[in-house]
Amino acid sequence: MGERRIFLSVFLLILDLQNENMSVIFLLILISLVVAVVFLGAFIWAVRSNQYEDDYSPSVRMLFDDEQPDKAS
Amino acid sequence: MGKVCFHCGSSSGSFVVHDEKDFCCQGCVAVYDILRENKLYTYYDLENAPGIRQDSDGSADYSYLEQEEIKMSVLDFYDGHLARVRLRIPSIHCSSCIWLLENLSRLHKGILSSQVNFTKKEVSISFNEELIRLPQLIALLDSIHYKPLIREKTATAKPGNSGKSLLIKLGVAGFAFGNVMLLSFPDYLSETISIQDNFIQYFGWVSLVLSIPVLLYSASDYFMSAWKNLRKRTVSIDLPIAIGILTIFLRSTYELFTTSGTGYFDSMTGLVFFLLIGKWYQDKTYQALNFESDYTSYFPLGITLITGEGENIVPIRKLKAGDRIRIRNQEIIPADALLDSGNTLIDYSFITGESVPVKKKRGDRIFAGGRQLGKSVELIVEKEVETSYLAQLWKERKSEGTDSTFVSGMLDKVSRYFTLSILLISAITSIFWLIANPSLALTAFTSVLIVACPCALALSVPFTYGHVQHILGKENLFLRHSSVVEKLASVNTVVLDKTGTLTDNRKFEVTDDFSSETAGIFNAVKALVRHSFHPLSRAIYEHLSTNKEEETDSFNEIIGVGLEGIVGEKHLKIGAREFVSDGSVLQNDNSTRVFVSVNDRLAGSFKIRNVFRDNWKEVVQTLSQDYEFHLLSGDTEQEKSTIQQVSGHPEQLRFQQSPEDKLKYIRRLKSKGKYTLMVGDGLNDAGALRESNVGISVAEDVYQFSPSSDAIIQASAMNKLHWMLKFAKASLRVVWISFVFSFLYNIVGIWYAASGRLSPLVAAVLMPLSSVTIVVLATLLTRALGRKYKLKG
Repeated sequence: MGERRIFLSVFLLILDLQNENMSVIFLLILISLVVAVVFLGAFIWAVRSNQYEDDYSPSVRMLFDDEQPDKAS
Repeated sequence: MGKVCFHCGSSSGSFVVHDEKDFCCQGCVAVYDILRENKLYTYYDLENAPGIRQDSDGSADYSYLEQEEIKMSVLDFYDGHLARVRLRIPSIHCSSCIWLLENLSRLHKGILSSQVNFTKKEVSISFNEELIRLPQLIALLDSIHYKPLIREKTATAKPGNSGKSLLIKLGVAGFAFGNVMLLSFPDYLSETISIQDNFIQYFGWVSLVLSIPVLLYSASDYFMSAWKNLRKRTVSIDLPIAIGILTIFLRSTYELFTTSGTGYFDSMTGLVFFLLIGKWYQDKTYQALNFESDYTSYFPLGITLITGEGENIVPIRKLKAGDRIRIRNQEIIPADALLDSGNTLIDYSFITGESVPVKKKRGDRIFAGGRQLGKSVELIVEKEVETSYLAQLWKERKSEGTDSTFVSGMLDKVSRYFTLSILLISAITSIFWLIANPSLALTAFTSVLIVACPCALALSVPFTYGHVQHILGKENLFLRHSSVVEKLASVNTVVLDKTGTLTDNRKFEVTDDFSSETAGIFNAVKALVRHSFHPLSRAIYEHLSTNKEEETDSFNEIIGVGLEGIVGEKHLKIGAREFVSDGSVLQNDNSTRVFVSVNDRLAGSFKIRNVFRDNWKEVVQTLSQDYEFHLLSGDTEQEKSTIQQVSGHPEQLRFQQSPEDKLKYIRRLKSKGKYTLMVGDGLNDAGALRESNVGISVAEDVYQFSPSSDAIIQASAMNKLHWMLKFAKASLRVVWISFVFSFLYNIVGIWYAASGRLSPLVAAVLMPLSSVTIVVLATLLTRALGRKYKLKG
């Protein structure tokens, strides 16, 4: 019986805490847009610094071993 | 037979065994040795037989690159010590190539670093000019069979700025589209979830701000193109697109300001995004093949000029009429000139395709592009390099451009009608509603303009043709531009060349023509040819079955002309008729003959012919089944009956055709209304290839290409050519289907919009949906067609 009272009061507390004012969303959208714009800027920078000029060799180059040229035996 | 060269993978006729592996020629052995010495064995680990077979023996002279002016015009950067050069190497084709070229520093310590740009087939090398000079560097690359094209750096254009700006436009559009879509969700779901109106308004304003760069930047090409065309009083496909984008934006902005709705910014950004993807895809397929190889890359940059003070090397640009120049053995003549010293032989294969050298005497005119054979000669320049015959040919070709094709021509017409009818319909609709029910007038007017989407028209062609081009590329038929697909589809007549197309330029059939008494010299001949790397020498070596070789006391090879030497006290000369004996010898056919003289007496000759390719019968059979089949050959009629048996129609097989004959023949076919496809081996048939509606050149390795062709095909893929033609033709159906789809969509959409029943939700969804559907439909259908015609996807 005591548990049920505790549950009820917690429940009412939560209902009370819930704020119907969601106006923080204005700010949230703006912040997320700023973050997104930063990524767009990074993309533009990447394009302008010619990173998209050759899209085949980097994939191949990655797989080359870093060989140590041996001394002539 | 299973044997292939360890280095380059070719299955040539004769093999050399070295280090327990098979190689097709000494050239490949040489490269193998260089790599092995420098511990560059990884080259062979990364790919199977990654090497390149190079028939030239690397005796090219690069010393003209020492000259200051020429050197500066080639190098990207030079400060006296450090130099940087960007070289185009057409033979780059795999990851081993990238690995080797980026490890060049291990071949010479003067090379500091190098980086490959695979898509452009370029390597950028930084080197210490004091340790390795430019000519040495080029020679080094030549020795490992990565021969670079030497051009002035102005010829290598700046990296596509238009490519970059398109990517950025695409990025901006995609960024805006994604975010606007997310922000539109509350609006879509506003009937199920209750959200405060001011949020929706706020999202609308954010969407507006995001859409502005899309309108002004990403979509700018469409507006500019539409405007340019309007000023010329023509209508292109870009006009309805531009109107559509603008209308959506204006209507949405209006709704936002008057709080009557949140607009359709998601449709607008989505439309621009998809259109740009289409454009990017089309550009990508075009860039992948750089066909614009300048003829000047074939010429050396410097030439030896003889003046009163002596001889020095000057850039060829500087040649004027009246200059006296010296041309050595194997050098290319850069300008039309008169021969001033004694007789010489000129190899015109680059221009006319004749592999038999032409004899020239003092006073004869020699055309630019010919290669000099024999001892050095002096020439007097007649015309500057720019105005030579070859340059004119090339210019003619470039100015032709891509002919307008049927579908694209139709596209322009349709877009004209489309735009006009849309404007008309929207005008009529608004008038109607102004009378009947004014509140709906504005809605109906703008909805009609919004929902009418020319997207199918703009998207179906690039995506379908682009995908067809991609599939054909996988099958080793490379098109210059996706518009060639349509040309291929319209072909009804096929003309083939014989030499190099049906025959293999690298395989030989040798028959000897010696009297019985002189057959005894075969031992000596075999001993002498063993020292030469020339393909004809190797062919003779293979042919001669004697195994008792004699000792060679001396050997001298004059490239392009012949060999001479002393074998067991016999003075032998082997080679071209003019070299071997000056007397007149009967020659009744124009197959290649290699003559032999012993102690200055003519002993006999070898007749050397190319053999037919393995798949030649299949090629002729399949093509003659479905198309009107013609054959034009510069060779004699010997093979006529063999070919006739497979193709039929003997009157359509012509022999002993000169390049002009071939050109005229094609012209005659065209005048009879035939749509001709010519397949030839590039140089030889340059005129005919250009004249025909579609020209395809055959290549052994697809790194060499001719500017007169619309496409290149690898010799081994010829047997699938008729499938590819059928495939191209069928793909037109895909384009029509997408047109029909788009038409239906427009009819239904406009009907609803005009009747004022089109809800914003539906319009917002329909637009990008139709674009996506077109793209997916075109791609899937094309792929299915590819499988139907047995082509890989």
